[in-house]
Amino acid sequence: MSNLRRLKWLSVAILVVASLVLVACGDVVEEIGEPVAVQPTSPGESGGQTAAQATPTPTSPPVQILPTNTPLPPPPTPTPLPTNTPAPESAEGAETEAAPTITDVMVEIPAGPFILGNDNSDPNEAPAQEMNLPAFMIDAFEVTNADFAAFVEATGYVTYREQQGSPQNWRSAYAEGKDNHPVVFVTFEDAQAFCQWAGKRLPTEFEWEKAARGPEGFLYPWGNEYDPTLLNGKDSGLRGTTAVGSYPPNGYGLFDVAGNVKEWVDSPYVAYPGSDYQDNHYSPDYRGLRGGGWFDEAEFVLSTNRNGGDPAITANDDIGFRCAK
Amino acid sequence: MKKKLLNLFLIAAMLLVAVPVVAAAPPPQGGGQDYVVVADDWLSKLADKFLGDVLAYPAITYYTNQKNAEDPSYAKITNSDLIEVGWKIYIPSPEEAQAYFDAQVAKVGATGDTIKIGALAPFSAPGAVVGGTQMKAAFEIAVDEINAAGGVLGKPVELIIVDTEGLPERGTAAMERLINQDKVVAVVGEYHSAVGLTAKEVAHANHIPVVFAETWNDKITASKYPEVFRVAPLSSEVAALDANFIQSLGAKKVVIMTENTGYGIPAAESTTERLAERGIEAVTFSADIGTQDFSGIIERIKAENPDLILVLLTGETSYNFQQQAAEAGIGPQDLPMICNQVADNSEAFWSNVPDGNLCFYRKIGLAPALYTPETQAFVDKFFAKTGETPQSYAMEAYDSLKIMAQAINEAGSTDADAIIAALENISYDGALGHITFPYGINNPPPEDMGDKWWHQFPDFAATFIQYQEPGQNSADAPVVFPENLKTADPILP
Repeated sequence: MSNLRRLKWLSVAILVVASLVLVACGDVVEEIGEPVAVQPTSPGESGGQTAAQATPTPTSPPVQILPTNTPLPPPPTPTPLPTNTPAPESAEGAETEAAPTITDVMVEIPAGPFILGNDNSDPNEAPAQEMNLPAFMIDAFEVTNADFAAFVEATGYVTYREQQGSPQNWRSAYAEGKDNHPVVFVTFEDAQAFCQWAGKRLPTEFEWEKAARGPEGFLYPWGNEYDPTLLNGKDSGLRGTTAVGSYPPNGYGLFDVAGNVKEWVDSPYVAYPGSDYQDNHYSPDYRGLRGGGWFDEAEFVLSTNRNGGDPAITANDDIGFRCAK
Repeated sequence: MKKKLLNLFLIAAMLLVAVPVVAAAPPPQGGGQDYVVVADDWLSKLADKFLGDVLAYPAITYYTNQKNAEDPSYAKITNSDLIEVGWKIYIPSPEEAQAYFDAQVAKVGATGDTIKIGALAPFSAPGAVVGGTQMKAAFEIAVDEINAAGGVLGKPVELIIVDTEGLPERGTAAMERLINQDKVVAVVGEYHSAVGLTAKEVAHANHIPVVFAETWNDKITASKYPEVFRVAPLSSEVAALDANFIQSLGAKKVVIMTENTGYGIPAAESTTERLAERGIEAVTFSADIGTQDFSGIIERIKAENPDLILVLLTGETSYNFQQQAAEAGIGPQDLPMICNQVADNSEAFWSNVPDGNLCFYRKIGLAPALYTPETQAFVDKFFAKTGETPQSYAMEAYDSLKIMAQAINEAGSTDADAIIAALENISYDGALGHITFPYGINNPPPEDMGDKWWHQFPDFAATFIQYQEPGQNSADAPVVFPENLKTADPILP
């Protein structure tokens, strides 16, 4: 059932995001593709709550194709929740395969101040401080395997891991039924290449944190208290990625900012403004990794948690990204 | 900060997954994956993520360092607590990790309510695997004997043997594992001094008694740690053995016949220095390995008119020289000659050097002439178990454990201070002979002897043997030096 639930979340997500985009941005529109009816796997499971589907066509002109423009759907409720046990992919794989990626959805983060950092966590997150950023757009979802495959097909791009001949690379992680799982084993440079191809860029660390904290400035997508059932982290016990959008979004409509995969950001891994803390790992040559991955515990999936890696060679099974512009 | 504290905790909780398996062949390769370190990583977290066990991280360290030896794009991890962003490391497959741990730990003896004693020995390269293998067999014999005799304090002994690989950092890790994870009351063994030097620090910090086996470095006992004892020889005494023996024979001028190698030239130089300290002149001649004809060199040696010849040539080459010298009138029956230690192989010696009677040769380790009934019983058991003759390190391993068991029994408790007091007063008869530790807390080593004699077994077997009959079997040849061990006086030509 969990895949079905995830699809329901996806459909809710699309509706929410699309409506938010429509309402908040007025003339800013995003293509989310032709609505296509999901092939039900069994009688009685199709119906009104079908998943909206989209074909990623990042280079095509934006055309507004929304299922509906009014009224605004209700905000996502915390139920139904994904179960803590992964359903076998094979059982519902056909359903997933029939649902190509729908992740080329961006959310506008409005201009204005937000609180960056955290004085009550790792010292590399301090000091908490008000920041002002202009408006920007950011992907609602982590970039998926299907997204990345489209990029590779269009450009012939070869990732760093593949160049190295490593048997573990984004293709090996792209198992059947994982179209909508986040792409992994990508370096910062691989991620940057994708975003450029898509006419986007990687978010800065400040942008990422502002978007991840939501309009409320939360430490987790849902609030300030950790709840292991609301994300794919270590406590979920899944020990692997989940389809993007499997858990409720934050207040801006971003999915999986806590857990699933760590996300590259285009900022050096150095001390925050006003901090004299010197982390042994700081280097202007490194780039930030945010949000924690599928094996991270509560403190590492905080929206304020900071991590960093070597942009040229770091590509692990829990590192992905989302784009901004 | 949180992660740093967790690190400390894990280090304290220490190491390795205890797997009750015997030492195995080197672990297989393959099936794992590369991983590049990010800022929030530490090895135990990666071990948890990929191997399902936070304590499995030494396997990551091991395999990464193995990879590094072949491919420097992999990191070399010298401290498992310090990994750097951007390092490429190798995460072994669970099978590889298991194979690694299987090779690390062996448990011997009963389970249940036991007295746990730890043992250190190398089972993997770069450690001396041959040495570790013999030591392990010796430990097993000792455990069987101890438990057959009622165990320790009425309980069976459980021996936990950890592979040190001959690496200093493994010495630290192994000792911490034994003390903090396995909760042993005492530790014995080890082959490499480099490991002993780090392991003794952990033993001292945790106040756990240790009897070291084949670790010769003077500093191991010279630290004067209450916890540290040793049954192996002292390296400085072994190094000075030749010079001391030559001095005891009253020689004034020595010819050193050495080989043109990285061993032979420095060995001659250091011996020359030690002889000079004793007022003895030395002249060195050198020849390439495999030299057949020594007639020219022998004429020049004659011209020096030495009163002793020290042969540092090795192997077959030494036989050639010794026999040709004898035929030219400067052989072991003409003036004292210290033949190369390969003379210990009496069959090869007599067939190559038929005029070699009265040759002296150095023997490190117990000479058959010094075997006691206890030595013979151990040698017989060892041969029955392994088909091999035990080397000195096997005897030391056996004795180190037997001594520790006796000390705990005599202490009547597993309290470290009580065990240490019992070890200082130990009187034990084993494979190496009668063992005592005369110098320690209650009787500090005299100043003219030096701190290296602290908790040191003084009668270690570093001896000179002499063939005193033509065709004599080396097992029958007497010990002629040092005084405290000799079984016969040297015969001078």
